[in-house]
Amino acid sequence: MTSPAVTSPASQPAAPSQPDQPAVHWRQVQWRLSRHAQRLLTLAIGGLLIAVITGRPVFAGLAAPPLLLLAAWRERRPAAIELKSGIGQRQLTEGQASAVSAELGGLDGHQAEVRLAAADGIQAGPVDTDGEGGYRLAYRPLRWGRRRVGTLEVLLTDPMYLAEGYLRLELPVINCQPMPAMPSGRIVLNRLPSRLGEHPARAAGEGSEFTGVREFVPGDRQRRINWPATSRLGTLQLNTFAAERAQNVVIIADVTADVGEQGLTSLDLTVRGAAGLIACYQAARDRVGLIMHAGTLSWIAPGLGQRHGYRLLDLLMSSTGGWDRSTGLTRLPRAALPPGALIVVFSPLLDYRLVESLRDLRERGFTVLVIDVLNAEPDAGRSKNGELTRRLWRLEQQAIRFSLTQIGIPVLHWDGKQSLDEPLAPYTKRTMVVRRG
Amino acid sequence: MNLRSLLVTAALTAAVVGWAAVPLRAGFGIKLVVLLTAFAGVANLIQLGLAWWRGYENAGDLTGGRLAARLIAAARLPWAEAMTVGALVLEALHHARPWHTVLLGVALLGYLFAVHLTETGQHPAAVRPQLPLLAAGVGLLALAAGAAALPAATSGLASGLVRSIAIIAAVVAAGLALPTWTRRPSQHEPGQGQQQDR
Repeated sequence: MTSPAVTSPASQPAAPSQPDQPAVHWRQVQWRLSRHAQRLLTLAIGGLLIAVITGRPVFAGLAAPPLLLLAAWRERRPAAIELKSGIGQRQLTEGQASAVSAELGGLDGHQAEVRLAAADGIQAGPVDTDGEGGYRLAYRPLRWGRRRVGTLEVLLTDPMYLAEGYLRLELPVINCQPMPAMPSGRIVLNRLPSRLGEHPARAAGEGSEFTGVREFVPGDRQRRINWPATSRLGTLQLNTFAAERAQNVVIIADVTADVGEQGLTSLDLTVRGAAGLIACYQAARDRVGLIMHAGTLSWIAPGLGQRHGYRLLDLLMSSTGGWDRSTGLTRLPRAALPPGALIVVFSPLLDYRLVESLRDLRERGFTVLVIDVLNAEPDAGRSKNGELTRRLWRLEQQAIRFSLTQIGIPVLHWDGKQSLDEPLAPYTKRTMVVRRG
Repeated sequence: MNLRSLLVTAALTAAVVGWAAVPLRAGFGIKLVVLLTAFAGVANLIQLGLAWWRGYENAGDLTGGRLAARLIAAARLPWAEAMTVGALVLEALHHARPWHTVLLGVALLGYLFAVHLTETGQHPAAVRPQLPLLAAGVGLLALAAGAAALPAATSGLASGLVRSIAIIAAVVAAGLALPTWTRRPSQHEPGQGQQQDR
C-alpha cells in the first residue's frame, strides 16, 4: 500500500475576501500604424505605382489626399503611460461579480480604449468609464478554482487615428471558491461524543431542550423546579433537559473522476456539495474534517473554527484530481477518522478503490452515507455492441450501489440542479441511528 | 459601430466596385479582377458585420455560410486594402478617363473613412479635423485630372518631369511604408513593455 500523502494545504489559510490595493505601473507603449493609416497608405502607394506603370498622371493625383492626411503624423507620442490597476477582491465565489479598476495617466491628449481579455473560466462584463481616465471592467468567474483573471489591454490612438499604441498587463490570479450547496438541515447521529456542542443528545444535561420531569433530589438547582407538576403530585418535581453535544463529521471528496455536463460535472458537484456541508456543520459548531480521495490522498483531521474552515476550503480547491493506477489505496487513514464520526462521501462511485475503502469503513463501525454525483453515462456509439456495453455498465453500477446499501451504507443520488436538502431529507428529519458492524 | 454606418459602408463598397468596373469589357482578366474586388469588398463587410454582431461566437452550429463567414473573420486579412488595390487595378485596365478616375478616388476615400468609422464606432463628426486636409487633397486630385486632360501634358519635358517626381515619390513612400508593413504586429501579440514599478 502506498503511504498516503499528508497535505497541509496552507500554513497561512486564505484570509476572508479583502479588496486588492491598486498597483501603479509605468508601462511602455508599443506604437504602430493604425489600420486606417495602413489603408490610406495602400491607396497612396497603389495610386503612385499605377501612375508610374501606366504613365497616367491622374493616378498620381489619387495619392495626394491620403499623403496629405498621413502628413499629419504626430511625432510626439508618450513612450510610457501610467497605469494604476487593481482586481478588487482576490477571494471570490463562483458567479460572484467583481471588477478590475484601471486608471490611466500621462496620455498626452491621446484617446484610450481599455478592455479585459478574460482567461478561461472568466466572463468579461461591460466596461464603465468615469470620463476622467478611470475605468471599471466587470468580470465574473464561472467556475471554482485558482484561476487567472486575464489580461488588461489598453489601445491608445492619436487624435487623427493614424497611430495606435498597445500595451498589456497580466492580471493576478484569484481564488474562486465553489458555490456551496448548503443544505438547511443536518444529519445528526443518535450517539454523539461527549463534547459540548449544539445537538441535543439522548443523555440528560444542561441543554435547553426539555426531555421530561423527575423527582427533586437534594443538590438539584431550584430554578428548574416544575411548579405545576409539584402542586399536582404533592412532591417537588424537576424539569430535565437534554445534553447538547457536538459531533465529528468527516467529508470524503472523491475527485478521481470529472465526468458529466460542463458546469455540473461530478467534480463540480463533489466540490460544491463538500463546501456546502463544511459550511453547514461549521455553523452548528461541529468538528469537520476532509479527506480528498485522488491519485494521492490528502486530509485534514476534524477541527473547529473559521480558520479551520478556510484550511478545508483550501484543500478542497488545491486538489488537481485525476486517477493514478499505481496507488492501490483501499484503507483510509485512522488519524483522519475519529471514532463515532459521521462520514459523508461525495463520489461518482467509479473508483473501485474507494468502494473498497467504504466497505472497510463500515466494517470498522463508522456511519457512512454516500451522495452519488454521477449524472453521465458512457457514449454507446454507433457500434452494434455499444448499447449492450452500456447496459452492462449500468448493471455494474447498480450492483455497486446495491452492495453498499446491503452493508448499511445509504446511497443518495444528487443531480446538482435540485437542492441538496431533497436527497438528504430522509436523514435530516430525525437522528441517524448508528449501527455497529 | 452601428447598423447605419455598416449600411453606408456597404453602399460605398457597391458604388466603388460598380464605378471601377463600368463599362464592363469582355476579357477573362477584367472579369477576374472584378470578381476578386467584389469578393474582397464582401469579405470586408462580413468582417465588419461579425464584429458588430457580438453574439456570433455563441450562434449555434457551424454549417454552410456561417462557417464561411467565421473563416473570413478569423482570417483577419486586410480585405479593405485588397478591395482598394482591386478597384485601382480595374480602373487602370480601362482606357484613360481622368474625371472618372477622380470620382473613383473620391469614392475610395469615402469608402476608407466609412470603414474606419464603422470599425471604431465613431460619429462622422470625428472626421471634422481632417476635412481641410481632405479638401486640399481632393483639390490636388482635381488638378491632376485637369493636367491629364490637357493634350500637351502627356508628352514633352514637363510630362517627363512630372513622371520623374512621381517615381521618386513612389520610391520614397514605398521605402517609408515597407518597414512598417513588415513589422506589423498581430492584434494578439503579447506586449513586451517593461514594467517599472514606482
